[in-house]
Amino acid sequence: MSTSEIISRVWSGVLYMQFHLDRALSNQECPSFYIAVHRNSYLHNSLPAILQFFKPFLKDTRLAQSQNWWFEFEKVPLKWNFPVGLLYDLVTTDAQIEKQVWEITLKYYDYPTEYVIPIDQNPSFLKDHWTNQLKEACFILNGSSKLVMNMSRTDSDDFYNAAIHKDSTQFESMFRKLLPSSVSSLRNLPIKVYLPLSNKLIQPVLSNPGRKMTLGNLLQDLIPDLFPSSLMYTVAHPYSHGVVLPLNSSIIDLYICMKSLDGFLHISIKMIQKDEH
Amino acid sequence: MSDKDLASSLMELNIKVGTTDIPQTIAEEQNQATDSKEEVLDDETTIKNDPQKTKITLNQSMMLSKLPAKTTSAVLSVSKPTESKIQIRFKSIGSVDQVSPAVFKISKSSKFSSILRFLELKLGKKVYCYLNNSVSPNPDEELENLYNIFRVGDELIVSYCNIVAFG
Repeated sequence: MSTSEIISRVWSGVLYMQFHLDRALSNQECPSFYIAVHRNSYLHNSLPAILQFFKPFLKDTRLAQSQNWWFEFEKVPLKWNFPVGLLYDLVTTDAQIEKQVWEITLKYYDYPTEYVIPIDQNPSFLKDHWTNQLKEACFILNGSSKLVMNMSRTDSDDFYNAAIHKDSTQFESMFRKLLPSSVSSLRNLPIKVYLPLSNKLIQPVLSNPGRKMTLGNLLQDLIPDLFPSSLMYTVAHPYSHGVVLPLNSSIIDLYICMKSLDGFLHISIKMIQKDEH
Repeated sequence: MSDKDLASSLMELNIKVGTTDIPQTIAEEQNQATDSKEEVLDDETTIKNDPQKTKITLNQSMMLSKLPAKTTSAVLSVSKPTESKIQIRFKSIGSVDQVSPAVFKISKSSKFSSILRFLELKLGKKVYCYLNNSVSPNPDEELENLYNIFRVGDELIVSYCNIVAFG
């Protein structure tokens, strides 16, 4: 498969989701809302569609104007600042595979500030967050965020719109401008590795990563307890966009093909669950 | 690993299981008790630790308890927060006061939000913080990662301003 084919698959990946409205928010029996959500998007990108459906059932319809909603899966609050596909890979286990949809509860009251960043009362909070992630990714790649900082307002709006409207061609052409001219001037790669208990993420520091470095080398180096071998999986699998990543692939190629809309390659580590016989 | 051992290991890592049954309530109470015991106040040169808190689903905790004991302990040990401290240097931008002293120590496992809160308390107003005069990290990012990426020498330089300085 070519690089552009992989990139277009990354952007077209969806999750089938079922949203329930928190019972405290409605007086009447409220149906669930079914929607296919792109993995490479934020939950709040789907919020307008979700609220449009639930609005007639809300006790207080004014809440439909608010952005301050939060999402919960099996009593665990979901972080709005992570892409949807990453959240799914982080919180679900093999028990989810048999289910047809991912069931999420939409909540408003008791915002879980201990676990999820509070939402800034600024209509552009999501774009601000995205811009900062992109600046950080740009700094990691080049040693400076100048390329993002010096972008014109029109360019940065176009870039963000390409990301949220999943226009992968436009996104890629903007993204290429952030990459150094050659592999040898690459400082480091924007990668986030999430440990299985999701309480810790590691951003590896690779000084001048070369084409020869594989994902296996990186993981064995970073978490030898979970990746004792760089050639085969024994205790854990690295996932991105819902697939197990091949250990022998070049880490640079993986980054180029599978980075998310925020410019980071997110890798979630899942334990291998052996079937009980 | 027994469920009880697992529950107490998770508690030590500030991880709660997303259920509402009785063991959880006990865990919460014990957790609060240890919180207050370990509370270290800000002093002249050290900023209070604010570790990451996490919730996992009941299915995730069941999956963990079914793994071979050796594997479960490997997961728990890699999830442990790093104990050591890093040095932070504060630099004010524009008309906002410079904090004094400018250099502080803070635990690597703290979140960036502890820096934001510390400055707000110290200056009595909301400030915007930047690394490398450009990036404004998420409040829940861990300082260890930010330090590894943005450090200058052996310090993490945090510049702050009372208005948005780098949009």
